[in-house]
Amino acid sequence: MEAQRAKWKVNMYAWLLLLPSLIFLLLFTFYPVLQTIILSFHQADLGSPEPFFNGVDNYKLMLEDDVFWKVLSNNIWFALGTVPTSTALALGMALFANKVLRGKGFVRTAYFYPTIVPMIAVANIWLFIYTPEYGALSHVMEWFGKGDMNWLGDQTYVMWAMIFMVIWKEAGYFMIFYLAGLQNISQELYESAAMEGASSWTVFRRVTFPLLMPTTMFVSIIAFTNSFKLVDHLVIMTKGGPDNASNLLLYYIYETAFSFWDQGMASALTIVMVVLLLAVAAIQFFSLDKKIHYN
Amino acid sequence: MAEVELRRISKMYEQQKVVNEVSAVIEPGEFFVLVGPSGCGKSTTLRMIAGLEEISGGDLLIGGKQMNHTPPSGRNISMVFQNYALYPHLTVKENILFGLQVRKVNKQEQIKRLNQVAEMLGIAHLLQRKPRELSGGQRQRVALGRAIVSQHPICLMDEPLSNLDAKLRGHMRTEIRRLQQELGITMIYVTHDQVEAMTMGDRMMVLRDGEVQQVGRPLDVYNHPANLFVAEFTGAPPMNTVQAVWRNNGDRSGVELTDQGSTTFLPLGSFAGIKEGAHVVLGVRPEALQPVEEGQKAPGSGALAIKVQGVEILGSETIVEFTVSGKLWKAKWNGQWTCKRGDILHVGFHAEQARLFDGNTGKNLANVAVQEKGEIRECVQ
Amino acid sequence: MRTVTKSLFSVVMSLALITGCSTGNSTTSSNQTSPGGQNNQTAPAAETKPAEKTELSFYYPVAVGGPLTKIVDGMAEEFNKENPNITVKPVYTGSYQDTTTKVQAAVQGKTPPDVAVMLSTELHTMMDMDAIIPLDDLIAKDGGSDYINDFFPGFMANSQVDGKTYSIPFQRSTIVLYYNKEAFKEVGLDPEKPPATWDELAEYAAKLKKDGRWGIEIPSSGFTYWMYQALALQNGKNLMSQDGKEVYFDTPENAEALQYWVDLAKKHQAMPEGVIEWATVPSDFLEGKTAMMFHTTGNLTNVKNNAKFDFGVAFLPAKKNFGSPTGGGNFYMFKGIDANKQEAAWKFIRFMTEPKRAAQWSIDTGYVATRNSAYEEDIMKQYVKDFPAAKVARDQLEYGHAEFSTHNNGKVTKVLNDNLQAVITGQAEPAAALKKAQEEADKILAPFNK
Repeated sequence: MEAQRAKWKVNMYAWLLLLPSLIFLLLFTFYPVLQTIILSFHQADLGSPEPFFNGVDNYKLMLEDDVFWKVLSNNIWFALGTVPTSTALALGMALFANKVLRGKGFVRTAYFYPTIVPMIAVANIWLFIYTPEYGALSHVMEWFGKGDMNWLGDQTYVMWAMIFMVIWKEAGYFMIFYLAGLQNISQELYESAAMEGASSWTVFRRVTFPLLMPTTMFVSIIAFTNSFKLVDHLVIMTKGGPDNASNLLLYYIYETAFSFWDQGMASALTIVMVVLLLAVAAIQFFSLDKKIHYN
Repeated sequence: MAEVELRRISKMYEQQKVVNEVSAVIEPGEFFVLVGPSGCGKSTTLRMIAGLEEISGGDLLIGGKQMNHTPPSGRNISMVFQNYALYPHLTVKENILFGLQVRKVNKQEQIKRLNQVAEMLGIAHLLQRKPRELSGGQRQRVALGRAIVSQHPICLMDEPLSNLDAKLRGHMRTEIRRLQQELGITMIYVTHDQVEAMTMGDRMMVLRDGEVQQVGRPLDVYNHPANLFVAEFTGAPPMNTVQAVWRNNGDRSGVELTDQGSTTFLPLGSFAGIKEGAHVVLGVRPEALQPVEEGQKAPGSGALAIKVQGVEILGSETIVEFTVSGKLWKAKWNGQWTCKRGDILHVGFHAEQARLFDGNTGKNLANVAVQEKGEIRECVQ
Repeated sequence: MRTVTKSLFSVVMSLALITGCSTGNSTTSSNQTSPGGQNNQTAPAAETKPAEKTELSFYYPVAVGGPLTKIVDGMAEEFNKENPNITVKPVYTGSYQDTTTKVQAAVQGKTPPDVAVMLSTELHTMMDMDAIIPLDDLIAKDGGSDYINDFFPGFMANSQVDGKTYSIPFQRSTIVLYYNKEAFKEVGLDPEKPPATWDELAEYAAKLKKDGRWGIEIPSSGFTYWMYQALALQNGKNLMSQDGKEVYFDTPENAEALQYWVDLAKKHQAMPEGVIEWATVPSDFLEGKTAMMFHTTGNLTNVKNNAKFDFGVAFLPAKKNFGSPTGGGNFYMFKGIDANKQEAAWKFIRFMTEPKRAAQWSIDTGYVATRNSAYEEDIMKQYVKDFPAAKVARDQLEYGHAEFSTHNNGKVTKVLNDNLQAVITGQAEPAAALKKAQEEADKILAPFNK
């Protein structure tokens, strides 16, 4: 009896400590998600004064919607374009920033600073960079006789322009994780490898890189989710244009919700996006995780 | 040839000299121990030999060749690190073969050597495991295996046993020594533990604050410490010491101890070259202090009346604690002695087992005067 | 690993917040009390009736540069001084888009603002949401149609459906042609004779084009439909019905208009190819990177203040006739407020649109004054005399039409924008793209034509 009471007391205490965060989680995460799921099975747009249940109609319409497929494929290209490159670049920058002896602080700050700048500001900076004729990039392109490249006004270039900008913005942030990861690798391992005469490439391939796999895993998940989350720049730079060439899933959700006022469809799109993200994260987690060494 | 020679090697960090002109010649096949308290520069010295630290001054010769600027891999050296430096993501087998793969040794040779080493160290059943699945002792063996498999004639070890428990440490001491002898490797071994230095080394170098204190065979160092520091660093318990004043009186010369106004004279026989009234430090190893009957005198020295302060009975021997001139001394006696705190006893020692050190410099004053008298016994078969 | 899970949650969170919460009740704080209003609180003690003090919340966006919040707040303060019984609390609500979102959230939360300035094109959307009320009763009580008739018809067009008036024009604009007189001189064109027809425009633009300078820029990002609407109007008629239930995209005239737009770049090589960013066009013009531009009158003050060269403002060139859509924001009143507040709100709207105030507002901001009588005010006469360009927009209003606005306006506009951009970027042919836009828009509008 006594023991049970004591146990109950301890449990109670734990629950009480968890309670505040639990309430917030329920209120601001689970409840809205649930609401969104429910709403996604309703028609709730300007044409219907009161929302009504319409089964999977929203999802059906979505599958027929060319723009949906366009933004989805855009987003996949966007992810493919940003995730590996920004991750690799972050790793490279971290390796360099870790090695550099003089001006370590400066190098790190220089690499990290795009991260601190808000995306809206970044978008404005790059809007100027990409401006034809007198933008910063145009001046560079003039050497190649291509000063009038309309980066944001052309369906083929606009996505590359976005990808490049986001890589610039994100790599510094990921570098921080890699720097932390590098600090966790014992110096002895490198000395041991040096005793064997391993080349720096071998050391990287066989020691550094495998030991950074947990970081790589973490960073790539973050990068992937970010490639779906980051849309602020679209508002400033292209509004998803030209003709949806730079449109992304989340921005399309935003348009659907706040420009078309189609809450039901926006909810359905949100559910698709969440499921997609969870699925990819799960795949990364469960398939790769086994191959990764954790200390 | 696997001879390692250090010629006045120094290491500077910023403006601070952490290793000061260390010199030694380490013979092929020798087990050479660098010993000293932490911060004495022993690890730095080892790392300079390995090539992991730049040499600030002096020359390093391996096999007669100057190696100051040769990268670690060009020095024919293997190394065992304090924390073993096993690659956590690789299996035991991959860890051991890492160096051979890097050096592109052919596959068959790799497997042959791996099997030899695994058998030698008794780790054949662990080859597919990862380091985190191994015990401390097993990791130690893998680290050894990695050094051995390289077949380098010289092996460096940096406090390899410090992460093991006492029992395992004792075991590994013998094992490392056995392997070294079997393989005929030149071993340079860093430790802060004087027991390891005493039991494993062919020769040892005692370092303090980057300065060499003494180099020699362990027993020579033990028996004839070059100075007070070495005397107090070696032995367990270490040598007992006390401030004293030298009294010159021919054969009846000796030291005078003062304790709260009363003086005790201990005759030590003739010590050449010590001035009357000189401040000295008397040193006696605990095992040299033996109980004597009251009035009976140990040959050539006086007896001390002492009051027991503490007793540790270790089974095979007993350690008795008491103070001499305000300093805590320990005596180590064979067998089990049931003294009690507060008992008044008499202890004495042979004059030739007394060591005298300069009261100012700490230098051993008596090495010349004392002959070895059967201190080291031959092992009779 | 915990961090990873956490970040996933935050994705869920952020998404959920976007959709989930917008349907929930978002409360908007409106505690910006104007000091003027507070001063008056002690005054009405002597009145005959112990008058109930009426408080009005007023949402307004700012869409052009300059200290507009200060001006609006100042006007509200002035109103509060004149009307001790009413306290207007102005709430700056960001961009037009933000304002619509906030109003929408407030309406669904049953706490609508009493009065708000929103895009004139939100009319049908607001009606579909059943959020706004017709103003006819209030107009009738307050002297009838004289007041309404004083507004330029091109502005009122966006306010009326089925003979009822739902909004009152406030900060309104239209598209005009800006041109660089010095560039005209440089190539031997008469700087006082801007192009008046499409052919002239193409011809002049081609002449004005040189290395590092385009002949003309018509922005095609964001407000693509608006620019296109101008061309369509010049070649015939508007793109939609007055009730916003039908669109007329796929007519031969409209295809011709779109072809003309594309030709300026492709055929005449006088305009950059691809989509031209809305915001960079004025800077291109100021930088001398383009000799002419189509842009909103809202930029007039900006260009006036920053142009280092002599510039002119002209009607948009005609094909069959002159034509330009209007744009900008109107006053709306919301459902669910009591009669007392309605009257107070109406008073406020009347106050804000008084000819004198409309004239001052136009001078301060560059917006077109909304009423004929505003141009009779002395300050306005003086201003127009000093700066004749200010009059061009007004004169063009004779050919002004309602800005493109339909039911489910956001979606229909996007369909049109997307297809226009497809043509502009060379991915589709005008006729085919307009046909596609027509089909899609018909589908979207179908529920409103039942």
